[in-house]
Amino acid sequence: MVVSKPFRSASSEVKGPVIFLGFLLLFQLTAFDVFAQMNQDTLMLQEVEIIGVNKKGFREILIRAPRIEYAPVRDIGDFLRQEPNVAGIRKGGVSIDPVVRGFKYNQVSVLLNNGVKIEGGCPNRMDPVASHVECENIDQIEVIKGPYILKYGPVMGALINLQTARPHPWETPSIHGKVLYGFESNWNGQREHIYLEGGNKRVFFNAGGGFKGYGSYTAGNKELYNSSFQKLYGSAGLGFAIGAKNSLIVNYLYDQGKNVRFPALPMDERLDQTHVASVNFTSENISKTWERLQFQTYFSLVHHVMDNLNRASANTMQAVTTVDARNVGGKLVTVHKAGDHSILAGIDYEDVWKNGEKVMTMKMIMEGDTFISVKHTNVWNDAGYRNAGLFGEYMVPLKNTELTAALRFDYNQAHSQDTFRLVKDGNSYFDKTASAFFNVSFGLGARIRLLHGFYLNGALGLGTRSPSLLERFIKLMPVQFDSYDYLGNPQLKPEHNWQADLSADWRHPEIGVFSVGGFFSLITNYITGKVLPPSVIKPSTQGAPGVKQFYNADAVYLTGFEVTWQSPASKQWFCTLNAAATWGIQPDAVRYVVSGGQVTDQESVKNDPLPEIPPLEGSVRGGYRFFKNKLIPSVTVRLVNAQMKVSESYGEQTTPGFVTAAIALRYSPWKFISVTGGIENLFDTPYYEHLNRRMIGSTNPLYEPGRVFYVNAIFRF
Amino acid sequence: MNFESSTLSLLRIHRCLLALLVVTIFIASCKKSEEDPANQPYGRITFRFDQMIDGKPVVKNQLLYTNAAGNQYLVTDVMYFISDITLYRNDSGSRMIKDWQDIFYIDDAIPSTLVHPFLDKIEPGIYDSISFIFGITEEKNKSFMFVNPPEVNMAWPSVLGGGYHYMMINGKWMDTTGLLMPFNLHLGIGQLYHGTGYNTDSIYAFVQNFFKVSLHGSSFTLNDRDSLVFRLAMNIERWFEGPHLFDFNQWGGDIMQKQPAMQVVKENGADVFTIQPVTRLPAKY
Repeated sequence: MVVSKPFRSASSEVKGPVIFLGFLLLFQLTAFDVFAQMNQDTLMLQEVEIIGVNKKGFREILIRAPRIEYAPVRDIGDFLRQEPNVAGIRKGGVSIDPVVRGFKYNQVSVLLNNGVKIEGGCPNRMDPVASHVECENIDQIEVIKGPYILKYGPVMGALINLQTARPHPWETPSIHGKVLYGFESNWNGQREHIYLEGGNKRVFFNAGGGFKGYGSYTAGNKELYNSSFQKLYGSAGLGFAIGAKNSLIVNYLYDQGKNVRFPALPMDERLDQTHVASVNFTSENISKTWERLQFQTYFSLVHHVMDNLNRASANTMQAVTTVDARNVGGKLVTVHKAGDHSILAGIDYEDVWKNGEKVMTMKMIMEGDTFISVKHTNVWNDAGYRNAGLFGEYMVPLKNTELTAALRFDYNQAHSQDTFRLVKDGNSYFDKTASAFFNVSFGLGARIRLLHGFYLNGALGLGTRSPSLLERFIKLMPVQFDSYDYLGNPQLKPEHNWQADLSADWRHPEIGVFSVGGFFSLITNYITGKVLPPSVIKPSTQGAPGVKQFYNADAVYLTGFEVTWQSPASKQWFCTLNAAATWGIQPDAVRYVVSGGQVTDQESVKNDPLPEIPPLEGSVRGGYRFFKNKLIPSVTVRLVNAQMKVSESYGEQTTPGFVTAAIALRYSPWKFISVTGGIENLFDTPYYEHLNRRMIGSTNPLYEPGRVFYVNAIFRF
Repeated sequence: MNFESSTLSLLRIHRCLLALLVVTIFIASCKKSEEDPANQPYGRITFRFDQMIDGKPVVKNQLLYTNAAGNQYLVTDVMYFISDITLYRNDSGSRMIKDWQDIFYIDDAIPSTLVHPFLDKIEPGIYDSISFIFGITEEKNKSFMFVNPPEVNMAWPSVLGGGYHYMMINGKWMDTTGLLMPFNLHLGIGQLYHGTGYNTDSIYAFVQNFFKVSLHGSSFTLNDRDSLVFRLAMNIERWFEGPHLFDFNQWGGDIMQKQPAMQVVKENGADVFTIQPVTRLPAKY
């Protein structure tokens, strides 16, 4: 949307000593998963905020493309799990669903390029938003914890803003490119990527694409997990500079997943096709006080097909689900400055539509005859919502203090053409499908400089999100971790997150950056599931023990902390220490007593831990820059505590703690070539993350990959 | 713009928002007092299922039995559904078991299906009798409503009426030549065919074969916090006698496409079940 990069000169990129040094640093700092964060952060300390707290007082992680390029990354969700208090839900080899500070699913807003949204097709979240964009296309990832940034749409718990590579003007006519090849042992994973960009001051372009093919991986416990997948993707962009102040950029992105296996889900992804197109117009420095005007419109379409044809369950009943999802929207933003005061205001609009069908086929051989019964049911039936937003942000520097205030109003209207109704004994479970909500969100942030290099940061906010189409209208699909079939609830109310953050950071050229912070969230109208009796409705998915329906529970709360230390940028050695944890409590929960496969009673559980909360975790990353950054070895050790605080009401299982190690070596003999090699899970540790789903039809966990040798080679021109 | 005044305004707004937040959190944390349903008097009941032949527990896979038509037979499997269990009070009121489940699957080979403790909290009082539907009513018997074993294995083909078998009793009988022949005494939705064959294309109507069973001698008294266990016995030999004799040599081993045969079984089924004396368990609430 925004051409925020300065005009780049091809020659100056190489000749300018300062930029060259920066480039070299950037190059060296981003090698492996092991230490890239630290390197990147160290570099960026001199430029913009990277990790810790931004100048608005909000905790933020900023990851640039080179760090991602050198790592053996299969998808963005997997990559983000390295960050403090960012975890992911693994269901297969790819498409890991990010969880930030215990917020998950639609509580985390994931978007592209400051506003482009994608509605995933799969009810099981085989295709979370981040899975529709390949990491090779990423230019920058921004993770903001908390409901404080409201200019990109409603945000409840966290925001993940994925910036893809977009065309930009060139001072002199140029064409440049990049070729990447990566290989991983264990699951014989290969990825190939090619990227071109160029143009001149007036017209500029980029285009890229690639392929990924991975087999099944063997975990540290020597078991083979059916986790193979294939991805094919491409993107193109064309930009025009209109006069000195205006630019118009058109982008298109295609992403396809094929035969993606999910051993922890009842089905596999047969095909997932994503089309994303956007148009961005920006006008800058319009007048002395009018800084910027931006207009963005986008269209995204997802076609998703999944089935159980590779599963044993298909012997008795085959199931194929096809879903089409569409998201169309746009926004208009204007930014004004008056002295030190900065005001941003805008409107945005989003129209989401979803339609899907499940076809079940049962083959019966009885008394010598073969009978086939087929049932068609809709998963969503022409369902959708429209969200119109009005937002504003105000920033002002006071004495030693940066203050930010953001306010947002949303009008959300949902609809569905469902003919399905569930009213029994006077109880209405699924009836009236229309709903409309007026939501208010706000964020306040302050960053106070107490001493030289020492900052105190505070933030307070309310994030409100309307229920998703899944929570409103899904019909009998196992969409959460507990294997129950879930039924939507069209009359759900919006979920609110009242959150406060408090942190301090100390920056010293010889000591580095030390940052410590904590947060508290009170979530009201918490959306979760409760069991419906089989006399009301029965599951339609094999293996589902029953049906749960979404409802608004009483308030729950989340609390946690993050501590980070980064070594000073001036040293040849580097080191980063991270520790983070989140705790979640549901004060009043219900546990169902199951006897002989039947619910025989229900009990109240006080202060039940929330499900799917990652345990306390720490990591150490360190290394050394040899030969003017041409050779950089590094090591990472990750220590994860056991998760014993598990949800009794959900029947969640505990997870043992583990320690893993990884080593990496990056060699960059010339600026145009770089080769990275390394070993992940060095000691072939058998382990699984607490958020990894259980293998379908069992309580056995889905283990993480065992030892993996990898190599990434990048050639630039 | 006056920066000083705008800063003061901002601070005022900040204070107002803080106050608003505190008040809202306070309101959100307040809970309405509700009447505790645990104080209401109630009792609970459990059904235990037995399969009997000639007054004794069935011995499977042994040719020990002879029915009223003189067929020697053995039993290998016994599986069936009952639903809509209804308790009739002496004051003319009734209570259906449905708070959790209303359809119950019983399988002689799966012990957990032979005991059904009902989640329903039953109002204490004097009850005259108990009834249930053998099989599943037309309203509830829908294809694909069960997707998990073992119930899914009771599926009844859509082309034959859909839904699920009410009953499967499998075994063997000795025919007139002395050969041991397999039988599938299956009960479900029947079909009416044009002509004499069983071509599914000639089906012109379906017949609902579920029926209501009223249990004689099933009166009971339920006190507050009582837990009563009823032993319900299916007397398999009664499927073959009174009011009609069922002769395997006449109907053959398979009857799911023979409505006249299923009609005989259905009409014999009214007194197949008996109820045993109640066991009163210690209160466990």
